[in-house]
Amino acid sequence: MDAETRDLFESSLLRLAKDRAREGRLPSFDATGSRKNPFCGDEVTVDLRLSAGVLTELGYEARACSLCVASAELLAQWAALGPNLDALLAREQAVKALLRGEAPPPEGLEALASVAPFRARHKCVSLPWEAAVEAVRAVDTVDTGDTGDTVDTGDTAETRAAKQGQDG
Amino acid sequence: MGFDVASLKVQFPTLQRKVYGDKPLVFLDSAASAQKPLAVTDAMNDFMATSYSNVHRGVHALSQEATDAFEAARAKIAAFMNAEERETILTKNTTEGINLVAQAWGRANLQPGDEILVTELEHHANIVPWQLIAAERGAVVRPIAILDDGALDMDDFHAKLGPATKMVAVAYVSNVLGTVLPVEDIIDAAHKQGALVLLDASQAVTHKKVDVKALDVDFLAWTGHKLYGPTGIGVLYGKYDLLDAMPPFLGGGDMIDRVSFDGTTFREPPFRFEAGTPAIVEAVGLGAAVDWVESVGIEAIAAHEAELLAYAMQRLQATNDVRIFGTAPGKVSVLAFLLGDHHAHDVGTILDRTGVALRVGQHCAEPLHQRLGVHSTARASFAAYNTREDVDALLDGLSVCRDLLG
Repeated sequence: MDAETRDLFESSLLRLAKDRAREGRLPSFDATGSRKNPFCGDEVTVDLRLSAGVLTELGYEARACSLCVASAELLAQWAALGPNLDALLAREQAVKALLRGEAPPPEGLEALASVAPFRARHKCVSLPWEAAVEAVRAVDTVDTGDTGDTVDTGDTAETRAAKQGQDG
Repeated sequence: MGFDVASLKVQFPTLQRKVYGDKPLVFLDSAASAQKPLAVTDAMNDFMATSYSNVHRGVHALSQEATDAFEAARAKIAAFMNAEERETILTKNTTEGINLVAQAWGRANLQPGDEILVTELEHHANIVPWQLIAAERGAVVRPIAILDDGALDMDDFHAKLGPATKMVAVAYVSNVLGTVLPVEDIIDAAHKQGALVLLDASQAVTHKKVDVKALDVDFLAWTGHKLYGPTGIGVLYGKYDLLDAMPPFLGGGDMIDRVSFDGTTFREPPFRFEAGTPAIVEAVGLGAAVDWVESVGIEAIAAHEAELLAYAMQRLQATNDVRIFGTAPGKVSVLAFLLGDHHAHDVGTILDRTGVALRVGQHCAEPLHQRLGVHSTARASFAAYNTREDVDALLDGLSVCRDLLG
């Protein structure tokens, strides 16, 4: 087997995907986003809890391939550091730039570099990040915390419906 | 003399190439689109190089030659399915053919409460067009269930077929499971109920002789690129009286009789449904593909593929960790499977790097995958040019998958 394929499937990604250590929906959340890849049917949902524009908790659920689950695990790992929403948006762009070979991997996402040669699998990796961005966009008022204002949680029809589904 | 696959395979330059450096290409994705023999590419190149012009309206020599080539292709295609030329509409692909019927026939004939029966195993191309017209006309699309082995649940079909049924639109052959549907029984029962039948024959024409007259089917759609022909050319058969009673689908040049601002009249079928400059070169290519298939013999191709399918099924079943989807008797050489609990995309990526090209995902059949209770599948499909060695390469590739995926 060629080195690229061995790098990909012998990287830490497969271990992350097998362990799925951080997978799980949040019992309640301030925003949620889902993305589906229509070609393979893979689907990821990302829930966010926020405080003053800062991510305090992230949960996810994935019906997806190993690369997609591993990418979601890396997202959840990073979210535990408490980034703000702008940083989340920037990191999604950084993941895509990494896959296109236009930028080096951001710290903590080095393992994703092994996916870059596999163009057909780029969507697998970006899907959880896109779901997270969709969740950010579902937040009516995005505040990065400079003023201490709280984030408006769940005022969109989509997030209300999702919350009812979760809480019910 | 037996089926000489070696002499066939050399006619396909793509199948001689290597991928990822030194890996011979093992092409098991013909159900998505088949490779093209030199007979097809040469015919298209020759036509473009020496006889190309627009068709039908020119008075010059080239236009007449092009028209003759285009209509000769239509004649071959019509004969291939035992249809008349006036019943043979050249479309872009199967999807366009089904949309044509859904829109042109459906708009004129469907009433609120009317029912269109499809099946759980349909390609999206035979679901979504009906959903669109049903929403517009107040009609209802009802899926017929399948059994666990992938066969159609005929009890469910007969239970759902009723006075409200106006159209039964079903696949002749499943693009995922390889199931051959009992279309003769379906057509007979539908006609007794006064319903019409459309067959999506995309996966059927490549594996079996299709005879529209013997079937007594009302509409039948298929595409050229799965039958070793080019992309961009498809076929819609319709019974002439039905076609003649249908309004146009698309408007434009070539499909009109007279145009004025007081009102426009339309030509007779098939031209009424071929608005604009058609896919001329592609039609010539499909004509060449039909010639090629007939020179090999569709029955001989089918027998070869059946032998390969049996070999592949036997080898995969012997592994104990491969789950095959679609085991109905008489299935054709389309083989969907999963390796252990590994995602089909991971398996497909590794197989690709061993040189084995197959398709992974939902194969434009999301409701079927929901019915199967799986997220996606890997699909190997075998065509005239495949060999036992190709099956062996698939099995070798799966061993690599086990090694890497654990």
